[in-house]
Amino acid sequence: MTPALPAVKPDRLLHELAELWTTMGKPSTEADADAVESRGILRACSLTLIVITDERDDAMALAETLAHLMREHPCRAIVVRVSDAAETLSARVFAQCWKPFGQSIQICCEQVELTVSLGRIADIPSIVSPLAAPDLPRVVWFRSASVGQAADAGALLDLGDKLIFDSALKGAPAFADLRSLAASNLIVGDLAWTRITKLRELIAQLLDGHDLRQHSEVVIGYSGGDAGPEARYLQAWLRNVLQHASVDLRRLDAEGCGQMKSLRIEPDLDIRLQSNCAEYKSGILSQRANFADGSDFTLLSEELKIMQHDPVYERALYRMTPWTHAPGMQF
Amino acid sequence: MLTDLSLQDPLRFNRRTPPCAVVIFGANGDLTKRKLMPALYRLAFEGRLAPGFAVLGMSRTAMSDDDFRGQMRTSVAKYLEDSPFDEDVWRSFAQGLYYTAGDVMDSEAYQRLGTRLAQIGHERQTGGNVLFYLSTSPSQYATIAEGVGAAGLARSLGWRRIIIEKPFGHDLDSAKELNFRLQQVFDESDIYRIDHYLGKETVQNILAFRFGNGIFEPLWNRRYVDHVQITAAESIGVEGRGGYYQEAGALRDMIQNHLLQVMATVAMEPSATFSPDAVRDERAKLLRSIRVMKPEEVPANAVAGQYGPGRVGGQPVPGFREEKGVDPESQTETYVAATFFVENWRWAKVPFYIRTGKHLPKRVSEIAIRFRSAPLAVFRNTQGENTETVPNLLILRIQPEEGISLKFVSKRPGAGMTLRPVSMDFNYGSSFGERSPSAYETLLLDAISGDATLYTRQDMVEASWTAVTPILDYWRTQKFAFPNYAPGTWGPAAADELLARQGHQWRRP
Repeated sequence: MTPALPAVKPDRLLHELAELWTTMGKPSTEADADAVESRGILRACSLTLIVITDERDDAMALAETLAHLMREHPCRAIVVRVSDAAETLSARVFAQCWKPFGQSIQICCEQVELTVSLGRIADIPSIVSPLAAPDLPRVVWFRSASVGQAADAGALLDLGDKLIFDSALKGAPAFADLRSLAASNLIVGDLAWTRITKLRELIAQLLDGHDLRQHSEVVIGYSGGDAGPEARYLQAWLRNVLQHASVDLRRLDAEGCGQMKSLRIEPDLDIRLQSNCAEYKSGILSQRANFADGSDFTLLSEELKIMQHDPVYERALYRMTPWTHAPGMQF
Repeated sequence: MLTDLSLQDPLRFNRRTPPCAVVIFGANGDLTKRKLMPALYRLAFEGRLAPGFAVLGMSRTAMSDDDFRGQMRTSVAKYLEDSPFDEDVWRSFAQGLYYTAGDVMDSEAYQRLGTRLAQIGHERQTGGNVLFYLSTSPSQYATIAEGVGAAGLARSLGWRRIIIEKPFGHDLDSAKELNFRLQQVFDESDIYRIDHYLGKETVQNILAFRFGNGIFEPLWNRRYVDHVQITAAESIGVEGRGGYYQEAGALRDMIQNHLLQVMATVAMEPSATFSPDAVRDERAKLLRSIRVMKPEEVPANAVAGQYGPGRVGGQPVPGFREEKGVDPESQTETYVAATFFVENWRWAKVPFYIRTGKHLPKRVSEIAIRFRSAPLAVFRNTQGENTETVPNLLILRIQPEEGISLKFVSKRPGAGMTLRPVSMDFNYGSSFGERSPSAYETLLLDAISGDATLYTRQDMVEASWTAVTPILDYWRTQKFAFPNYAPGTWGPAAADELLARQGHQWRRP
């Protein structure tokens, strides 16, 4: 029997959230109190974002990502920190506030933080479900893949309308598992796929108007021992859109960890990839395209805009070659 | 429907734009430097332009391509708003910038322009697509269009479009003449009359608010709406544009174009589809439904104002007549308040009050829709008297603090039924923190993509001139006792009286 821990009651947390707003919304001066149109705090929420993370992960970086994210996607953020400690279950609530430049109102979003030991994962759904903002989409972001190896991790899948993974993380679910989740009508996102959006868009722009049948051969160059998930996603997507072409992955050197370096689409498109940009040559045109940085914020921001099945992604997922970091999540 | 062979990913990719060359007449002017080039650079920064995109600037000043690139670089770095200037993006963007000197009155200049365009088309693979942007004096619009046509540049294998800026004529007759001359060269569908107000995200959001939600449209009519107030207030004066403004005045500068377009957006019927012509048909229909005043009705329905000298924020402010380039006896209005009625079943007898002015207390643009009061005041105060009903107010804020507010009454906590007005706010910036594109970014991208939804059409321009012509004609016969309002105030007292006669009063934004 699991030893008794101080209970975390969702009702209590909701009450604390309500109190938080009452306190913050109180006018600071009598003049404010008299003004009918007094504007202090604006509560903003367009979704519930549940973040599953490892307690050892960089908490500061996550806080920064969420702070940025809330400006574009105001949400009730519920951060679940999974701890190695024997028995832990605790929670706190607070608000993230900011004042947009030149505006008189302060905008605030709610945040709930839960710390829970690995053995208590089964308790998470009963706490988190009532905390989700009503009538709004719920997204679960598996920021850490380690939780997937816990025995009760499957229970977390029911928390979201959309689940976001990152195949580039060690311990991430295999593509076959993502396919099963997508087939079970869940909306699935993979940040490894999101990382190649700008590259795919550039390719689409450059090939726009071409007869796609003229492209017979595509080579994706990468460095390192094994091509990473991004290269594999690109391969799958190109196989879908250039059905007359062979699309191959080619290792260019042994250094690195599978990141893409180049792309050649016969007869005349060459793209050289750098960290946040691409230099390309197409016919007599030679140019450079800037990509957004690949930060968690940028990637999440794109994924949170898509709250429906993504047919292009799902088609690529079904085309994926088998590949995974072992061992994968146990969903 | 996506096929496996489609390269597109509509959920994630930006809208596709075709390759093209933008020819800017007046490339050395202020609009190019402050607005057009920063907007184009920003589109390049976001990867919204096709790889072969090119700009060919033209003005009288002799300059090399490199001089032009250098000058544009300085302008973009200076006038780029809320975006970083990226040297690498600029380098790539600048490869597509070209310049040719020429006088728009000289027919040979258009031949040279044609030769240069052909060369750029080959280098940049633009497919013959050209967008002509007339960033010049309005008096040159027709001449330039005719020059382009005479040189055979208005037709090619690719598309050819032309953008002109307001004012589209200075009255109904001149607007008709301009339209006629433009249409001798370009098809109406290739003429893009820019009204940057319609490019504002919040103006576009009016359509989303009205037609994307099911709960508001049933209330959007004479049965529930008491009146509508449209305000576009500026806290500054004419700021060095005295010469232009003296000729134009507030009615021509703001109401004939921007504010009547906003009114049309607020009052139009839903279109069957969101295609450019379907939306514009509805806007045009609304503009044609505006009741045209008889001369004798003008004094009761329109008020002109002009600011005098005064002090704002502890600083002296010159009156309009003391501004540089302005006649000391000027009869030009810097403020207008007018009442318009729409003659259709939805809006019959609902007044639309529109006001705009310079040197008002704050910069604000908004639409306030005042609903009718509850038919019966059922709540009584502690003395047993009926408490007054407070009408609901829906405010669509265009700028600043873009958003929507709904005012309604709520019970004050405690014993007794005491009511207090409260506000429910939606703030655009808090729900969508991402950067909104500037109006010029939106409109340029639309024109390149061939989407004219946010551009005005010949019939819309002529209908709005028809609506304001009686006011212009009547005012021309009057001698106003200007100045009649102090800077930093909400305009002349007559504007308040205009509404008071209907039992209404201006909202103080």
